Amino acid sequence: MTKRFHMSVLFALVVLALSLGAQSVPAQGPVYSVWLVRNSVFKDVPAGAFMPDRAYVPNSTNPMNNQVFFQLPVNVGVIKGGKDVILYDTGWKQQDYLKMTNSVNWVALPELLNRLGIQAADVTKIVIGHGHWDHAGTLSDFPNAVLYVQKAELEGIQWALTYPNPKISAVNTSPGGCARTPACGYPPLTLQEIYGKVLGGKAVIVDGTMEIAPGVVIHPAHRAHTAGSQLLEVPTTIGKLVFGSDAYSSWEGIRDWMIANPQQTDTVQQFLAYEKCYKITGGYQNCVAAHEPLSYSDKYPITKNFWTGPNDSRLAEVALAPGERTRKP
Amino acid sequence: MVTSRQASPSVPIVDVPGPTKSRGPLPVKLLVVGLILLTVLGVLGASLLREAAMAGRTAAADARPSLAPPRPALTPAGEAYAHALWAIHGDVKSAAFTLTFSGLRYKLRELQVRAFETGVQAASKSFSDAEARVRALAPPTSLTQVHSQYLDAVHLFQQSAAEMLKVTEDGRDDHLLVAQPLSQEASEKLLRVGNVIWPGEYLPN
Repeated sequence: MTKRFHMSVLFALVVLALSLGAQSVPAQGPVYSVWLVRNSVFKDVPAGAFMPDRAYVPNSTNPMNNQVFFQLPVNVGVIKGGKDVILYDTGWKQQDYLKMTNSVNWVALPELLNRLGIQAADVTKIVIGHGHWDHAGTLSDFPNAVLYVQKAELEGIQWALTYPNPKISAVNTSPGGCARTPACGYPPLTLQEIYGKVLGGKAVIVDGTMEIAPGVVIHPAHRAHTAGSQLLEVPTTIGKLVFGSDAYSSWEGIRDWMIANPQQTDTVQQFLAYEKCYKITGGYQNCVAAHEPLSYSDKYPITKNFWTGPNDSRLAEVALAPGERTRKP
Repeated sequence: MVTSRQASPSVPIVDVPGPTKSRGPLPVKLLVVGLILLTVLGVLGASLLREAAMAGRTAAADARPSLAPPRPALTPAGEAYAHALWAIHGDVKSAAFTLTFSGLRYKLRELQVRAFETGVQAASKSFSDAEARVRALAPPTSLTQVHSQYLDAVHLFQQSAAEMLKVTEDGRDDHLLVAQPLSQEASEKLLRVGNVIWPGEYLPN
């Protein structure tokens, strides 16, 4: 009987180990530590402007349509492993210009990195999901980092700015603004910073897919938000993650197959970008969204292990590589 | 997150075989079951404590007002100036883009030197025209600093373009490295001006 009991315990342990393995799907090869930090919050963005399928309907009891505004975080991915510290997107730094965007809780990205024990000079690589000002806005704060940007993104920006029809080439300062033209969202300063990286020999112009560190792979998602949007696949102890910047503006959008944040977006391409995450990670849980309103809550599970930083910012510990210490206070 | 995930599946281990005839293994079984129960309770307790602490922190943070103070309204004269400068600003930004992409594509070997020169010269001329138009504006006293800041920006762009054109004389890319920080500073000044007179110029993208 004793033997039978021991065998039962052993069997239960084996089942437990197998079930844990099935849940977390540890990646083959090197794994990385990952944090998500919130650079700022865009206040009171109309729900329908962010997700057309979730436009506010007065008196509606449908949870899909009963919200007037969304509070959108600006999320930045921090990936650490081997000799690399990689940023996915860099948020924006124009603290003096906060009033322009109805933003709150802005914190300089280097300061948020300090909370993770990382100095700006330690950052080795920056992958920008696209070139908009709120995602590629602090490149010069990371002097040692090599920038990865899609060739199609640079070509798309230039094409848009020089298109002969002024309704299509409209920039933010054109009469009536630019709404969602292909030239919208690229201030001279952001482009200058990209240009500065190229001149300094600190830029890689990516044409499609590229592995930038063992297991860390850039995937093109062209026109999923802008002409040269790109995703980033990262192996971790909780399985593979895929960062999507504004191609993955809303995690709920990925889960429910609804488009989000249509700017220079081909909605078919955005859906294909969603599908890419499902294929790489096996579902939607590990898709990392740039502006998901549920970020830093239990409702967006990979961000639920969060804490509060300076100026009411948020930092979340998503995954730790073996031997990596927690940064959560 | 990972911790609680690992802890919960340990519950099935509690479901051990039924009574035994000999008394020998009983203390071992009890010990194992007791240890598992204690572990589960410990993890549960720790999770509850952590969640409570987190909820407290979040609630406290939410209670703090965090909105920036509202921007003071411009005077009618200020509004007129902002409107007039807005028209020029579009051309300045367009020229700034031309300058950036001329340098970028030249550096990436996508542009021959003559095409590079044409682009930079066109941008330079736009900046000169813009300077004249800006100087013709009469800012209200409250915006004189904004006015001079805008002119500074245009000057910096002009200097940057002049430096870039030296590449066509001696073929040295170093001039681009000297020119770029000037353009970057100019671009930042444009944003600072926009902050005062064109809030909402850049909406979330």
